[in-house]
Amino acid sequence: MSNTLVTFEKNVERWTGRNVKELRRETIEETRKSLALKGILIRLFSEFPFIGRGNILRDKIVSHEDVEKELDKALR
Amino acid sequence: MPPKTFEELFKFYLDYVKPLYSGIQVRNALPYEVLFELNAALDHISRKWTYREPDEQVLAKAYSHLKRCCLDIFKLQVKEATKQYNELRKIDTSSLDNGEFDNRLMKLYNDIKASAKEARKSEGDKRFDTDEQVHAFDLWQPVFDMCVTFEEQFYNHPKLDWARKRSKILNLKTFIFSIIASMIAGFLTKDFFVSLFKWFVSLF
Repeated sequence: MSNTLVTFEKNVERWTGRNVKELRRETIEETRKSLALKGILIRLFSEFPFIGRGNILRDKIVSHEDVEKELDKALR
Repeated sequence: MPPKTFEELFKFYLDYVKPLYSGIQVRNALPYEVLFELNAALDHISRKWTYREPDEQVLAKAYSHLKRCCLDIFKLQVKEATKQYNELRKIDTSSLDNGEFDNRLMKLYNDIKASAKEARKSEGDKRFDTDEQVHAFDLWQPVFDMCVTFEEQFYNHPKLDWARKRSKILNLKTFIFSIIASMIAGFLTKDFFVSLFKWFVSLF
């Protein structure tokens, strides 16, 4: 196993507080159901244009420069 | 190098994509854009059977979407760290850890920013990935690591609630003091302003 993967796994465990093997083994549906049992309903939201491809937006076309600006703003 | 077989593609999925996807699901921070990437990957995979597209093409495209999905999740952690940093800056944390909290906070946040900029610049790295290494992740890994550390050591600092309460009390004291000060100032200058007003009225 590469060092990148080992470090990655450790970080995921710190990030989620869950065992990475468990995260891999569980189906996505099982994870969702276990959260629902705790009263957590999966919240979906958009992070465009911070992430995501394509430039079709609800009300306007966003250029590549605008997407870069948005990321620069977050990194400022 | 993009995976040559479906087995290699799904190894990549299991190694990186699944933990990250499950991670954002567990943290209840699932953006549509990540789902779009996963749907796009599934669509490419299906084309092997539905449109008889060659394996090489299907694997390369599906892999590219899966990799993008991971990079997006890494980027979101930078955004999350920025949000946490902005929240922390609103609190007076100067007395935490004998004043060291602020210094360490600024240093780590600046490191996150600098490394994220570097990682973003190198995203188009054309070096080939091997079975054991995904080059695009090499530079995002330390950023992800620092973002997790930021949350652990600063955003979830055990004394932060105390600092938050202290900040509120200080703000309240400042607010009350400014009201009292303006009332005293108003009382002391009342006669002056009345005569000034009378003079102003007499001009017309």
